[in-house]
Amino acid sequence: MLFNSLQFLAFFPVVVIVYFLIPSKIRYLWLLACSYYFYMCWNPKYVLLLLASTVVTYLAGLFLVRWSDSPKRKKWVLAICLLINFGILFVFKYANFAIQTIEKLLGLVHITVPEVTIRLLLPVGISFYIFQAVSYLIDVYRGDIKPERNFFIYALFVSFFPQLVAGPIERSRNLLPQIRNLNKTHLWDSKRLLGGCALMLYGFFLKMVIADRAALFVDTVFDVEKYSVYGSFEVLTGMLLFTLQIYCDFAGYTSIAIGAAKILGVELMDNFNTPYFAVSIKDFWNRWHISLSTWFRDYLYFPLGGSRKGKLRKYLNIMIVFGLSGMWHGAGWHYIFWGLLHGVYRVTGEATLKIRQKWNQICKKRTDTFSHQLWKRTCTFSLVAVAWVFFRAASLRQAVDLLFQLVSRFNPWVLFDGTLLNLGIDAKDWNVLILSILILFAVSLCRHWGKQPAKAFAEQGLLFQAVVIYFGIIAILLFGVYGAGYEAAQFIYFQF
Amino acid sequence: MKRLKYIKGMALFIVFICLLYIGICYTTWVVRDKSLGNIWVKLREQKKDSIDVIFLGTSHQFCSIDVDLLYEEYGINGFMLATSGQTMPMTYYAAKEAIRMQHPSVIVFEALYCHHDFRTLTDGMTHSFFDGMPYGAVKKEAVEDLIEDESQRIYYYLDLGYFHNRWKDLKEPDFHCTMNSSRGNYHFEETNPGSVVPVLETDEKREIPEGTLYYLDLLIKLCQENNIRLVMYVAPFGVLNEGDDPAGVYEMQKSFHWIRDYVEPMGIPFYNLFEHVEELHLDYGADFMDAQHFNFRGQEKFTRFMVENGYFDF
Repeated sequence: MLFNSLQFLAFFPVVVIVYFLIPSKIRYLWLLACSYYFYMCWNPKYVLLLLASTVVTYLAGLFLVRWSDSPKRKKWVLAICLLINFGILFVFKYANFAIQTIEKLLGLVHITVPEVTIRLLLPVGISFYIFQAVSYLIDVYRGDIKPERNFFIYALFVSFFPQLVAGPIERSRNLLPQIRNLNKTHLWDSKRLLGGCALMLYGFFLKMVIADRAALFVDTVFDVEKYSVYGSFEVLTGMLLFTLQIYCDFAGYTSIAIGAAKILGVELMDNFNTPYFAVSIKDFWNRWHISLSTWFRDYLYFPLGGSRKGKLRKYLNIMIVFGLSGMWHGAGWHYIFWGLLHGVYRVTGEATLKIRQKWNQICKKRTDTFSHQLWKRTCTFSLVAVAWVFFRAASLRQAVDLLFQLVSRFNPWVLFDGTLLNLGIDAKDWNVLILSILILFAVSLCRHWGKQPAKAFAEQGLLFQAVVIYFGIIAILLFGVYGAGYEAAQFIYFQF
Repeated sequence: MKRLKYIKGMALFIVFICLLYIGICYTTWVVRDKSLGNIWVKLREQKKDSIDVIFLGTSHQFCSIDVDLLYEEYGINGFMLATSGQTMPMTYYAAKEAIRMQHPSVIVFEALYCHHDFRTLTDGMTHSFFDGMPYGAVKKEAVEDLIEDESQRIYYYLDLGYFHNRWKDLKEPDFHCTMNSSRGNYHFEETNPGSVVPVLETDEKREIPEGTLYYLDLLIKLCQENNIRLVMYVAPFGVLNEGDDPAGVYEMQKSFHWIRDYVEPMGIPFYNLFEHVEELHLDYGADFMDAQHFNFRGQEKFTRFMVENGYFDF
């Protein structure tokens, strides 16, 4: 079930109304049933995978406590459980990619093998819920948290529908206590409810008005059949719009998820903090997909030794983390390359930090000026935008071709001769897009200056809030990209 | 105190939802494509059971009959419920809903589309039929029966999902009322040369498709059960483009002959106006909006002819 579908618009109010009316003790059971229904709307069979991951990690959590005095047994339990979870992930997400890679490698040495393809659908959100379950398990193993004994509460932790298919990848420390205390939550809190509605509305705005509109242009420029005809400025515009699209798509989903959870009395972690205002790649990853970045930091980078084992090892660890992060995003070399490219950015940034600082000293350059900060932000944004080309392209080859077209086919006249108005979006769509980007920019600026727009909104008068929500809904229904003629576009991060 | 606050909160929430519903309905009405008419809205504005005659069928029906003239000059209290591309199944459902809303004593059915077995034609035509149709059992039945693509059915209930992209094309008339009069009448002033009506001289017949016959039978049964007099006719028309082979129009006339033979034994009059085309004294240079459809002059001429020759002796 997509958030931007009519099905969800019918599902969610029913969930909320029943949730508010039933006895508080069984609220979590209702949410669990709704979460499984939500997942089964996509493919009923694949709910078994979700259940399997839940049962395995739940039992493993209990065994880890039972055998707390036997480190060897604990390690075995952890290893088996990780093997099962990552095994599921590998089979459903990477098996075909691995087979094809082996076939290609064998082909290079002239060994021909019969083509093998495993016919499996990639289960929606599999990487998200498996990572969430694994994080719980490792936390229990480390003794950071106590295992949850109520299976249904734990099952809801893994499957909580607002964040089930595209995160945020919640930590057990944050989410489990909230689920345990759902019966104590005071539901009739108008500030919280309106705040949740506003967040959902903002998410729909990002997704339906900006991301899906930008996608019309991006899909045209990245079309595998036709991309080779475009020059520098079509590719540049497509690249910038994809940079915008992926942010609005994912941040939109997250905002809807956080808003929906808020209405149900659950506070989810934030996943984005104005990432395109970052001054370095390191800073970018502290602001982008925060729940995944911190997951990799806590459960991979630190266990690998982090920065404690010397510079070279640190750089290697960074490359491993970013390589796996790329792989997490998809089974394709272009995803892995995208991850590694960010790793190279990070390592280069770290390695040249002292030289750059020295250079600034020699040049007596002030680094606290607006212009210097702007320069750093622009450089970071450009590096991120270039990397997104590898992420969006259908293959490494296409990405390289597009970047070559970007630098070799200088055609600034397309900015003036109307060419850009015929690539998926027309002049009126451009107007809406530009206006929407200005709204997004204003909201981001508020966040950047330390103000919380959602909180500030919740503090306004009831009438003001109602009017904003009212016209927001009408505007999204009118200017959103959806409905007959359009396939309700999936959120990009569903496929991960 | 807490209870009062709760009640106040609920009341405000309900008011908000009501206002939102009104806002969405208005937005839907504004963006809806009114170029193909908006007849259900007009029918709903009529007082219940105030209409005596309902006119159903295709564009040939609403281009041929002037319901305002029928009322003003002949006292026939009618309503035009024909829509562009209204297929036989659509006509059946339109009749069913019209009977529920108005219970007329006569239904006049222009039977052009009986010759083929399309259930729907273009999306725009299907929307012009469904949009504004009151929500209820008949609409549900019709949508489930006629719209094969399940994913698209929702847009026949919430047509904002279909039309919202028209915000780009909104013009002043979109914010005013529709092109129809209060009786659903159309008035086309545009004049273009009409194509000469080819008349089949023989009484050859061609059976109509089984699917269409099924819905025709349903319509006849519906009228019988509700004590409604059913009158059928076809208005004359020529080929679509000058120089086209008139064979297609002849084939249709064979179907009309078959329908006549099928319905007349049941006491249902069927008037084939192709047979009276000369008596109509059509001016092909002045009476047509396009090659096949009458403009307001042809419409008036045809309407008067139908009444004055006793075809509409209601």
